[in-house]
Amino acid sequence: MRDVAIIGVGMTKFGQLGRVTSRELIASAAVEAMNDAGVTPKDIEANYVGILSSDFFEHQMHSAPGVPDYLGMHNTPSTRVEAACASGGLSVMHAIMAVAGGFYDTVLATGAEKMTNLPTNHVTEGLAMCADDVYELSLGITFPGAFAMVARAHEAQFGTDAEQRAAVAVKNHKNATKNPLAQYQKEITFEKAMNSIMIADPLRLFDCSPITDGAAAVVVVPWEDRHKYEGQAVKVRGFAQASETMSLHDRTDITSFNTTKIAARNAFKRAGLEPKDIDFAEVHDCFTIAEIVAIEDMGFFKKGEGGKAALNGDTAADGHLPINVSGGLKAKGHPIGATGVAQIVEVSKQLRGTAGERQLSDVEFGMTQNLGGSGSTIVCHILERGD
Amino acid sequence: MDNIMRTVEMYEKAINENKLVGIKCNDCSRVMVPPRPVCRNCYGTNLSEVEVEGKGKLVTWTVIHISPPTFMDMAPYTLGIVELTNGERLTGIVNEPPENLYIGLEVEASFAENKEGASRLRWKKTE
Ligand SMILES: [Zn+2]
Repeated sequence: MRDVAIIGVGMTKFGQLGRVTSRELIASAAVEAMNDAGVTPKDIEANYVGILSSDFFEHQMHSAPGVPDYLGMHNTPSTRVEAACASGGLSVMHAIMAVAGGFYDTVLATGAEKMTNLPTNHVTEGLAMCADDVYELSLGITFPGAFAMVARAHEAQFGTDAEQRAAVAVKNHKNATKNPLAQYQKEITFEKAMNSIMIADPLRLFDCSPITDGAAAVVVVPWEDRHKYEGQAVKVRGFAQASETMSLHDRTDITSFNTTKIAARNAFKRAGLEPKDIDFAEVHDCFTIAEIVAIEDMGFFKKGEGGKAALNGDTAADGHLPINVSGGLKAKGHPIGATGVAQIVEVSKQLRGTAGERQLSDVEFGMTQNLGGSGSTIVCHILERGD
Repeated sequence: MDNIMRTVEMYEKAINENKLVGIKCNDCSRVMVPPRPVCRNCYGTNLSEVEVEGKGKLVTWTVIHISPPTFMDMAPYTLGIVELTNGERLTGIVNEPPENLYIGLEVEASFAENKEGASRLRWKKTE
């Protein structure tokens, strides 16, 4: 197997983007990534595209060929990857595996979602279709509802209260003020977060990531070929995916996602690294409690300490382990299929030293965790600063 | 007889008769609720339908305020995960005021009228 480099990155502005299709969003992000890498569409040998549901949100199935179509590629294979909110991370992982396995040398990994065409209740339903239709959705589950049940169990067992959850929201909104591509660039107060409307008790509006349009793209090449390209290479050190039951109720422990533990462990194993080696991470904070659970399950904090880590500043941009310095899903926005790719974009920018105002100092290893469903799919990546 | 394991239909039929069923592995005795076509313990496929006790304890719950369009007339409603007496777990709507709920509360299954299949499951406090 060959080592792999991220050689080009791009992403659109995240937010409510009006009349535009997901394939146009991908084209914009992909052109930026290809320009960054110093390649053109004719150099791309394959494309992967992470989209949850252009079907539901845009009345458009078969969205994969839309990418080569709108990039002027002729006959380049394009494959859609759907893994709920982990679609983007899995798109990147398949691109990496295709290059690592020697099938292709120059691969584009993209992801997008165009969500704001529909009213909130309909988006809630579309997302809820990622739960088990028979045993969960037929009973009215929503994703805020599923994570609210995680939050209640976590609070009962470890005392992770509303203030600790709000600390995640306050931190990520603060981080996003330094990210010009983020959906929100406004700080919020604990008071505002803790008094916002109830969505699914105990989760309030500011515990939830927003509904967002956007796309992200990366170009992946063999590590040994990196000097042939213009882009500044970032090395892929580890990656892993884990999948499990569709229903939340089928897990023996509601306060933890076994899939995160396994995907993180396998990514660390592949990288030959440990949690203490990681300098910063982008994790899947679709809800505040999800970030708390993620940083525990990845091995960065002891079980039950994830909320306190946000509250006491350990995970702040100037803390000892910055988490979601991009603003995370919470404030950067969460265009479902784009999210996992955007995490790779952020980690790559930080490792290249091109993250602008939010640049972290002296970072060597960054990690991502991208979650689908109620933790039914997890994809983790570990990236290393290039030479 | 075809060779398709219709575990969802098995569960839905039972729920329509106000019963909860799972599937039991005849090789290792593991009972799975909801039923699955392959044993999660030993991968066996020699399985039989079994009725399970519709009683258990509340593991966690939420009150859903923002719902999908089809549930808007019910909102806010309470959804909970219940651990059955055999250790298996199910999600269901909890027909009990939220202020009466706590983790470990003993509940039993009941079944909504005017509904079909899995969506009928309701939990109420054990009398
Ligand atoms: Zn068995």
